[in-house]
Amino acid sequence: MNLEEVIELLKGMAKKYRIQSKMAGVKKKVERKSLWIDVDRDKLLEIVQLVVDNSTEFPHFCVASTSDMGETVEVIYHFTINYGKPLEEVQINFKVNLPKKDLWIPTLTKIVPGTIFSERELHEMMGIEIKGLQDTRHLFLTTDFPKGVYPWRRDETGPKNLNKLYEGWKQ
Amino acid sequence: MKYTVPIGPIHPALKEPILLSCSVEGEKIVDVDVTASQNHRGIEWIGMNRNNPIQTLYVSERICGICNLCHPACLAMAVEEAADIEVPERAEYIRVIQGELERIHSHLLWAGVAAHELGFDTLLHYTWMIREKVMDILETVNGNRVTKAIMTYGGVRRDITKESIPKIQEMLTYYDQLFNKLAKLFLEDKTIKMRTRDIGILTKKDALQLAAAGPTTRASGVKKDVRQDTPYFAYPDFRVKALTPDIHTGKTVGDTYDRIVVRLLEVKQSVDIIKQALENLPAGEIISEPKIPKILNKIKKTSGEAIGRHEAPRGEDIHYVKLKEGDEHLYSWKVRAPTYSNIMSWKPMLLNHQIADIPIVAASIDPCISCTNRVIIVEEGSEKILTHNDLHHLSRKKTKEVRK
Amino acid sequence: MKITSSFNRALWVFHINSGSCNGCDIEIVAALTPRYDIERFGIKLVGTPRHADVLAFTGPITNDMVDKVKRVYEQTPDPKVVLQVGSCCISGGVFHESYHLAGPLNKIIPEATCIYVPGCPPRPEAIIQGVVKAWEFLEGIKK
Repeated sequence: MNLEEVIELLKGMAKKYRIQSKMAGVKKKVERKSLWIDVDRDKLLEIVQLVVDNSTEFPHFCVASTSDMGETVEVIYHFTINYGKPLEEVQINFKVNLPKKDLWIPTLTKIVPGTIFSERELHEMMGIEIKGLQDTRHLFLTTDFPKGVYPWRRDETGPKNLNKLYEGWKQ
Repeated sequence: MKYTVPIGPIHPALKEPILLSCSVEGEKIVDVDVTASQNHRGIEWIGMNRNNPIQTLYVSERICGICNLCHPACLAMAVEEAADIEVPERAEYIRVIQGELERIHSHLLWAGVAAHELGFDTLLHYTWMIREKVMDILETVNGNRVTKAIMTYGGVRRDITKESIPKIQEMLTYYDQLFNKLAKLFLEDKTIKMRTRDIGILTKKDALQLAAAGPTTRASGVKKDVRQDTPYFAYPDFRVKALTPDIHTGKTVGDTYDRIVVRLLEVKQSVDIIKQALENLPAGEIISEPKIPKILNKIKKTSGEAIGRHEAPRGEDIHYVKLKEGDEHLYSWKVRAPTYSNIMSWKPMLLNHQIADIPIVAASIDPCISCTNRVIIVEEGSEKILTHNDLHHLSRKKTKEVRK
Repeated sequence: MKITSSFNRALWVFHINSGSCNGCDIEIVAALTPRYDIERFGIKLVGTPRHADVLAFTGPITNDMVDKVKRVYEQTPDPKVVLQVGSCCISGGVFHESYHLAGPLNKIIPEATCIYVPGCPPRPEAIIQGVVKAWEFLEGIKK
């Protein structure tokens, strides 16, 4: 599937989409395009299943990133399909907006098993509840890290106990 | 009756702290669990809250000391796309040369460490002695052996001068002549074959579903390589192809031996790419905007988001950056190092193997835990703590038994 | 520097990585390989702190590694010297204000005698000079 076929397939389920492109190469110039799609939280599982069913090889999941936008929290899942043939890869990014008062998202581990580490990290760093995830232990923070402190948030739950260097450790 | 063997953070086998808990039944491993919180230094938080973007480049360099160029390269790619900064042609070629030099040094380092895990200290000393040639070239070109500090937004910081080009070509002929000897030492040795053939197999289906990257997945037959699929910098001129082990041995099994084959073939490929790049190096400037306050101002005024992907020696490295207008720091920054995805493949690789196989299988994915971080086997029965030394001892003992 | 007979065997070093980026670690191992070769003096890396004379620390100490570092320090028999390799151990390096760090090594083990080797990462020649200073110090104690 190339870029136009992907857009045709997913256009119905998405709220909106846009294409971002950049040139690369010196003597032989190529254009690198990436596709950014906004979806609703309840359509997320369907749209990922559609991509998995319609691509020749299993899609490659890169990472799930997140940002704190004040009232909402944005989660982006980065996928690529069509690797293996030169210059034919398509980068697809699914963006989901979640309100802070109702912060949950369904798990993708049943469709793509490689998302388990990303979802554990989203849970411990941003405080998002993943519905359906069995293993919710801390991944990168210690087990006795204070509860309710989320390092990537920009509001009052960010970390406060910073290890400042020159304050009072020299007796 | 099951048994838990925690391979604790301070261990002689792997040089980095990670907690691997293996559940053992008799001598066979049944389950593997990984705890990786020992190395988390809060780097993304530092980039988002404390540093301006130029300082963040230097923090991202110290995410890992071995794959030293890939993190600033991804960050620079992402910010240049989001803020629309141009890069001159000579800088793109220099970035390719630096990336391939780093790949040679990292693969030779790994080959020495893998030999050390099997008990062949002679091969460790030999390979690291060969590696010193590349370190000399890195020092001539960059000024420092390990941390390069060569990337910046809009180009590179130092040029490859006319005097260093003959030295680089001398290094390339040295490696060309040595390649056959290295291949014979590693790939035709009976003991190495006995310890690595059919050990730690990762099937193609598992490699696809767990989203592994780099030589780990290329050894299982999946042709994934960012330089081939979505080229960046000056790679579209070179036509890089993903290398799978059937080029050299004729079949693809997906075990530890195949991973050694893939890495040695990639060293040869890197030497060819550097030769081609040096012949076609264009003239010109190396940076599009030499004054730093102007670049910082430009980044402060833009808003947008972008992704940068680079093929590090260990796999695919991806950074996501979001910029907001009026904010001096990066608004959002997410780093995903290649070992993050490759660690999940420890579990299918280690099932039904013996404990003495753990060091070589765990080292065969080339783990760089400090990139990831930001492991426990649990067996019912008793708890016994094996230190790194015990594991290493077991691994050497098995080599001796196998050779009889 | 005089190698007297009071210190009967050469220095044995135990290396601990408490959250480092691996730059200093590969320079420590490069000091043992044939280019710089301190193994010809008998200095080698051992696998357990009970045999060690010198403890080589790298990396800023993260929250998770604090009690492990203290335990390893207590397990090493006297006389011993702590060698702090790299700027991360000495002051936190580039990561000094992070929320997951427990501070420079002097905050955790204040009573240790330390030799500092700054750099990011220090060259193998600098690490060798640090080990030589540790050797002279231990010779001084034994006399």
